[in-house]
Amino acid sequence: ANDLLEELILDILLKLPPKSLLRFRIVCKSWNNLIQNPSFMAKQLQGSIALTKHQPLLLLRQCSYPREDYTLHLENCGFEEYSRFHYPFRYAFGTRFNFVGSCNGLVCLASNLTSTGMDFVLWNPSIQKCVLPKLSQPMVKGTSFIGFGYDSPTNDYKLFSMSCEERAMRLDVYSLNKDSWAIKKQETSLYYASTHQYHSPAYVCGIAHWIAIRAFCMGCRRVILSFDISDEVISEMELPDCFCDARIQLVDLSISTHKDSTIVLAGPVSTIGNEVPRICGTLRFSSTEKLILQLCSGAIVSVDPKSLKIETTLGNAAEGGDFSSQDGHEMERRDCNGMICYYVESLVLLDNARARNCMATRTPSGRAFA
Amino acid sequence: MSITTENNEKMITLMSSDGEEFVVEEAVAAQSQTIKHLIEDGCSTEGSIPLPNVTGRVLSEVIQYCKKHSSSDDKEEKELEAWDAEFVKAADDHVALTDLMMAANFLDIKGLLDLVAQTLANMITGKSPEEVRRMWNIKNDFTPEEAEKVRKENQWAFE
Repeated sequence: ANDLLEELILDILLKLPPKSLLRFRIVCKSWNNLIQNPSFMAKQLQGSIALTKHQPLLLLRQCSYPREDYTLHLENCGFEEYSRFHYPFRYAFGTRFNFVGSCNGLVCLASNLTSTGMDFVLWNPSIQKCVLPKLSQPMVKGTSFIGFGYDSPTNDYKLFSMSCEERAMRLDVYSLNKDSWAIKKQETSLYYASTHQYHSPAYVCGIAHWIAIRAFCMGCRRVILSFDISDEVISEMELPDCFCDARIQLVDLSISTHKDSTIVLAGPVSTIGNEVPRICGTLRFSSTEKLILQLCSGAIVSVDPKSLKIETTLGNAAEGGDFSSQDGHEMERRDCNGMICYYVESLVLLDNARARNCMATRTPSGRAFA
Repeated sequence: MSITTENNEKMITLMSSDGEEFVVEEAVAAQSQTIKHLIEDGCSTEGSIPLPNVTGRVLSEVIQYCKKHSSSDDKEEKELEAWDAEFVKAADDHVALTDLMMAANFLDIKGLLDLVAQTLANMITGKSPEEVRRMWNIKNDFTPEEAEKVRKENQWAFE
């Protein structure tokens, strides 16, 4: 006889991390059916989101070629390491993946192959499953705005890229449910350029926001460009006067979210330690009101916003000093695509028929896998 | 018959499945939605509320939890968390915790149910499927082939 009431099993399983749930699928058939049930997966995700409101998890990506580390950290004063993910991909065709975004436990990576289109990967590191979307149509040379998010009305995940062609904005949207790309064009006499390639947008209420430079016959102006993930509509928002002059190179702008609103941050405002912080979309406020930013060395630090003193350095940042000083080659080899963002552990992709097991399979072409 | 204390607290009597009686303040017992509804429906006027699914040993633990949680307010959240941690530690094995969880489920005490579920989840997080089956006498109804297939799909989670 089973000593545990059926209804209690659900309560216990909902409090387990994804890795344990995968392992417990072979306890018995009823546990296996329960864990794979879409309504269980949805409840697990809701529970995880609720839990991270109380105890946020930070996903830290650190790269120093050819190594890539993905670790989860608690947002306490020491950013204690919570767990470590195996990174299953290799750099395809000599290029490397860039981080696009993370949403509901999925991590979106892209490698920039302008001639053949973008090579994207949607990866759930908590269950080591991934989907490789078809290559997108070749992108326009130059910059584009890339993002990844969840469309709650249709319960879909979308990848999107906006780029400017002659007299038009081109919008490419990939839907995970449909497994296809759709291209839309919107006529405009404006031209938008991104300030940083792979500058992650700030997401608020299903809308992605980027800092963009708008070029028009009247001149350049910095604005916020936004994309509604549900309606797939692009809009523009003015920035305050002190931020909009695109000629001022001294002030670098970054965009982030804080307590469900979008904030624009200006920097570098000052040197921190001996370094000028580089802002690359990783600047943000933590829930403990600390500023998290990336220094030139690649190190990610938390800084007290008033005193600008470094309070904590994350991960292997102590090695950061080795790179910054003497050796120019080392400096170049160091990937500057380190990144930090909030993360939620989930089972998303577990029931996706196209999802591959990252740890066991090789794709026929060898694309993307180590 | 209901008894009243000096500070005018209404008292009720709870009776466990093995006949043990517990006299508690109504506000304490009402932490349980099940008991609260029984009181509202007037089932307590006969003197005591019988709880046929809960033994005296488990009921005394449940009352201990309810007493603590009805006397604390939100300001003491940290202290309450520490108390909860000690409380589940005292129950220490999974059998006692499972009994407690079943009682919390029957009595409908959400906070206690969550607390015990989390404790049991933490207890099994690192365990193997075989160990989990043994804990709760769960029968493995997979054929070896089926089990191997599911295991292969998630091999890394076993390492």
